[in-house]
Amino acid sequence: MSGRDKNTGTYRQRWVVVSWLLVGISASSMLVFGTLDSRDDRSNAERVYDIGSAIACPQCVGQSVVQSDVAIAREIRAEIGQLVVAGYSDDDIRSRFAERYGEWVILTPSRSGLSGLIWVIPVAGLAVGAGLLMVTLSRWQRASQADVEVSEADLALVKKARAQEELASVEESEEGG
Amino acid sequence: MGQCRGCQLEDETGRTVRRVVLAVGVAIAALVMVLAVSERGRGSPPLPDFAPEFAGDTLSGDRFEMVNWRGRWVLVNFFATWCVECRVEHPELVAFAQRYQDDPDVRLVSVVFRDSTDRIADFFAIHGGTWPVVVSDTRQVAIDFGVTAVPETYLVDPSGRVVVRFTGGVTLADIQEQLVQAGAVV
Repeated sequence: MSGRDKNTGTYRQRWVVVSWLLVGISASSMLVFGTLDSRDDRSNAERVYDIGSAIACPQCVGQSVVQSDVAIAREIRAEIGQLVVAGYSDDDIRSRFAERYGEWVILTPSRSGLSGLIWVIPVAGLAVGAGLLMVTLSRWQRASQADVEVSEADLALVKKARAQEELASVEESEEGG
Repeated sequence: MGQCRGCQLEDETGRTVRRVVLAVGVAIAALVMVLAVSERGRGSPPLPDFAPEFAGDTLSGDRFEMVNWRGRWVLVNFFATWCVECRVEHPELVAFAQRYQDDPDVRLVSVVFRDSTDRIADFFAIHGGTWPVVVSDTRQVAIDFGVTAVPETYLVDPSGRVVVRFTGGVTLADIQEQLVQAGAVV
């Protein structure tokens, strides 16, 4: 391998490292900003709507308490409003209704227990995917850089093929001209 | 003829990827099956172990406090005048109140669900009934009991434990059967 090739290889390797660093920084930034942006500046009405959207109407099928107009849904909405004004957190309010009506009324999957796997699996999948990608890329890189013994006959074949290619391109350009 | 080293590596990587994808697929399928099997049915809300210690103003202007009835069998009935089933069950509750009016250990209290005091007063004036009817702070009581729709009735034992929930209209026979089963009456 010539010095120039070696330099080109190192240059490419550096770019690969820089690219991965950029990917890492972007992902971390998104996570950090996503977390910071979760500060609560919603109005009480917005909180009531958000909480009510995640609580199933106990008397209905497939409707949250904000979507339903049956009596118990109205009562629960009003109760959520009172609890919000009284200063309870979203989690406290959800827990209260889960306690009274059962966990099934909470439409957002729980972060604990078996349902918690729903939150873990995508992250784990992403990590496994990224790991596999890195392993595959590094293997391909190693394979391309592996020292391969080339026989004289192989070299002659390559030389001949290149010569034929060059000849063909020259003929093409002459015909074109 | 031997394979080139790069090709071998590519094959090996491909096999690993296929194995991992298969394992992840099997794990997700298993999780979906487990979640589907463990999915709790909507059904009824869980029966509260103990009846909430509610209190409120009654139709007659008195103060009702559940704690004062501790040591008795109490039937807590949630109803509204706009509810057809509640109107249908009302004569059964009147019959129950008359049947046990001389028994100090059995009591009935009604809790209004989304209705106006005036309508309730008219309804009781027309259809009868002299038991306490709680008309204030009733929303929280209904939610504390886990009421989903009226009429709904709860039988509470002398220790405050909820013995049974009747969903829909209740009859005197239903209540008596439960009282006998629970050993409250013979």
